[in-house]
Amino acid sequence: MSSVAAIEPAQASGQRLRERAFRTATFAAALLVLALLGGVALSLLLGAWPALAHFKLDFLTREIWNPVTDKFGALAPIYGTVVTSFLALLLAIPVSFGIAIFLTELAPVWLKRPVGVAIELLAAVPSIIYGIWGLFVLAPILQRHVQPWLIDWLGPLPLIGRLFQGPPYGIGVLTASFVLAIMVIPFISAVMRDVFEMVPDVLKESAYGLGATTWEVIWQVVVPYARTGIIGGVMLGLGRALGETMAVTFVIGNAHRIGSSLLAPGTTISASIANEFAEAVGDLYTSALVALGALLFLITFAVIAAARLMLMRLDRRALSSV
Amino acid sequence: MNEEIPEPGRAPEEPQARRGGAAREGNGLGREEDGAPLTRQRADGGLNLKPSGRVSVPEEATQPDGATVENPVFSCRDVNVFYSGKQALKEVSLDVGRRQVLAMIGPSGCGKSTFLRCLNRMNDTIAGARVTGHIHLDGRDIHDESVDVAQLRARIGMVFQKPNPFPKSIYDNVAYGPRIHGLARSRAHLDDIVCSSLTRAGLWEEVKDRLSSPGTGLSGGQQQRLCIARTIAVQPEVILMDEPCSALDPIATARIEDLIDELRESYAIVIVTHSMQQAARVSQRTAYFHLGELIEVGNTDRVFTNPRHRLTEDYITGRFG
Ligand SMILES: Nc1ncnc2c1ncn2[C@@H]1O[C@H](COP(=O)(O)OP(=O)(O)O)[C@@H](O)[C@H]1O
Ligand SMILES: [Mg+2]
Repeated sequence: MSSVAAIEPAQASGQRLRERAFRTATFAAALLVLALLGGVALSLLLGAWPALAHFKLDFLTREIWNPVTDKFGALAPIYGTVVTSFLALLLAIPVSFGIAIFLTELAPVWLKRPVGVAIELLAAVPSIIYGIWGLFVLAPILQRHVQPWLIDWLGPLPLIGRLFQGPPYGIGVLTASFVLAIMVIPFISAVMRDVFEMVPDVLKESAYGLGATTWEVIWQVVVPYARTGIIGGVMLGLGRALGETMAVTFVIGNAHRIGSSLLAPGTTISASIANEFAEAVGDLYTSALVALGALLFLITFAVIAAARLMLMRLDRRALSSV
Repeated sequence: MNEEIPEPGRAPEEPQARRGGAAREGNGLGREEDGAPLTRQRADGGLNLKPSGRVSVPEEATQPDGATVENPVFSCRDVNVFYSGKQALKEVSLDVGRRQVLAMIGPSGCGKSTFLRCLNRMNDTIAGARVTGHIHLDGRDIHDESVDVAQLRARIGMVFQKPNPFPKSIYDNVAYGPRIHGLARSRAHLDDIVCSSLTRAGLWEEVKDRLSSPGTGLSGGQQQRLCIARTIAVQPEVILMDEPCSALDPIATARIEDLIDELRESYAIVIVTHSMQQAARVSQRTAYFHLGELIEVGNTDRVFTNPRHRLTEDYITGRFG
């Protein structure tokens, strides 16, 4: 037997067939993703159509949500979604920034890995656990210790005072924002850490070499360089906050109302859907809920797309500057 | 001694290593203030096994041929560096003289950059890096708790291998250091500093009409001179250069070398280079490193014409490295 045996024609064609089948299969799998995305969008649109056609623009601008009279407006859930996400980011961004800076610039080696792993574990905690914890642990603490303090000290202030008035329910928009903030911190800080690590050492070192302090290097070199990445990370966090359902449903109070106070109960798009879908009777009611879903789909899609775009641009710049 | 004649250079290493910490503690800080006893002591300790050379050759008496110099800017003793426990620099003792260029040569990975980065405590910025030993700048221990590391680095300029201007305008690049240290009394004063730094770096004529365009738009050689201008704008006492010409073409390299020669009149310069011709052209003293050890150091002419250690000789004659 020679070591280089001639390949049988039959064997070769079998090989070619297998290759072709394999290519087709992977291609089909890839197409499936696109088809799924399109299918989801389409069915949302179809399901939402009756409500959208019935209420037209009123659906977006009215606060009323009355299943008995079949009057539905999405303003309260939109408001709740936007406000809780915004507040969550307001709380989460500084903390995540601090975590990321600490991990990349300041932490001793032995601490980096444990803290990094802890962050990844936090990101993996199922949201229902955050919900339970928020309801049974965080809400009572806020109700007893934090909210009275906010009411006493911030309530009397002009302008922002209105946001902190009323009874301390414990659950409500503010509590939901806290829980959301805790949930998005791992995401935002992990992305920020990664983009800070992409800042070239030589750039940092030349600032250090001129006598810049760590503070100055962070603000004048690291942050400007990583700016788009930071924004991308924040957007990813925002995408998650916007769509978060279980945890928010537990702690927001589920009231279709736009309270002037952050301490008041409210609702979000996803919390409304989760709460009401099972008991929704009547086509219009169901369709209104689906329309809420379509809205959320649009908002989240736009945010995530923007985030990806920014991160992509950062990648390209990092590559071109090497 | 143990071996054949061409290797007396090895001798300095052994007694020195043996004396180690005891000598360090015994002498305390006081000795750094006075160069003379230090020199004598090192000689007694066996650092220069050729005292006859120093007696018989007059110019070597004024410029001692070895690790120590009179009135050094930097005086380093028994410096060790570990990266995550792995030793990269072993018991290096070396002085840096004023108004002269010290070249550091050796095969790559031998610890030249590591030593350079000890001098401005840049290794502090590397997680897991540990530096032991004594490094004194003008007689003061740079690792002392009272030393503000940012202030220390402002006194020691650093120029890197790859030209790396900040993504800012030419003007802002040079003004960066003076700004963070509040060196300028007024805008006019800052203009002055920028202008004179660029002039000294030999770049003024080329960029004076486009100070507001980005520094990253200059050619490689110009960028490197911009980095030098940025460094001298802070008025350092010492300038550290880590292979400053390795990314430049021969003409740009020649310009930087001329510049180094001019800057030597005001600054102490330590330059790492992989080019022996460059070391011979720009430096007055040359130190040869090998596997983290300082093998030989002396007047550049002497090291290149009459290396005392076999490893040095092999390296400069191109047998390896
Ligand atoms: N940041 C670092 N982390 C770990 N090891 C390093 C680091 N920098 C340098 N080293 C190691 O230290 C040794 C000396 O490196 P270096 O001083 O850069 O050499 P040279 O500049 O002479 O080429 C090498 O073995 C290198 O791998
Ligand atoms: Mg090097």
